[in-house]
Amino acid sequence: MGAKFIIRTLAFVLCIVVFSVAAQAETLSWSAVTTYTDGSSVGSAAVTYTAVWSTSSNLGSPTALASSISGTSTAFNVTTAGMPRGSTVYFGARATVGGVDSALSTPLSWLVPSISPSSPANLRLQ
Amino acid sequence: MTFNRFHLLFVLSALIGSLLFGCGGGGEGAQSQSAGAGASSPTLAWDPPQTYVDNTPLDPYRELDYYEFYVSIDANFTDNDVPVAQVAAISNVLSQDGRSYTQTLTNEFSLDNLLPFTQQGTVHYISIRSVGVDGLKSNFSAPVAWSLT
Repeated sequence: MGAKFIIRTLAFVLCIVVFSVAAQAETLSWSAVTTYTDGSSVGSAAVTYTAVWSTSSNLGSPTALASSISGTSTAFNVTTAGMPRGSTVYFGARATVGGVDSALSTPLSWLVPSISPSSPANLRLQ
Repeated sequence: MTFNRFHLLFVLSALIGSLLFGCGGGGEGAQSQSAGAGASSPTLAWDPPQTYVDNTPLDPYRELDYYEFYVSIDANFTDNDVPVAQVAAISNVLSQDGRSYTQTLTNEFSLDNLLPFTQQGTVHYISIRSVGVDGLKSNFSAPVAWSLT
């Protein structure tokens, strides 16, 4: 593998899409990496992505949302991911080509939506 | 032996009158059950919620904070009603060896605790709401009737 260096930091175009469906998955997406930091094209090299989230704005102690995926988006569930509702979390992603990682993208902040719990069911006297 | 972080929040007794005799309005309304009270009050039981109102999954161990208890002579509860008690959604039960605690979902409550807010010879309605860790409250549960004879 030639003298290719660190992959260019993602030109981040993250967007959070909330689907109003029963499954209620959120989707984190980002733009594809096409060049190395020296401006040369990645070409046909395989690019994989890792997406993380953190409650820290500097993405400290990140938790993985997706690891080594080839796509440029990942679906997640707030509860399953353990995100604190009503609080701000931060997303980041990095690309990997040929075993070399890019830097993490600029963090994207997102206010985890608060939702009322359902009411207790089957209230009864016993 | 059970150690829990239940704590009752009995609001001012001055509220009792308006609570017991002044409720009205909409609410979910449907009376689901009634039972008589003998020498000892019955226990109120419920199934903790497992979802949010949009049907996304809810982890009651991590995402529920407490329950609120409402008592009224009117089965229609509204946001104007004031809770007479609250209890933590999770209790810590001491293990048999006494060395650790196990988290348990709270799903029952002795109605003896609500007697100060009731009147003998009157049918009261009880409803509860779950409150998430972010403070958002559920709708009122379908009330149950409690006949104090």
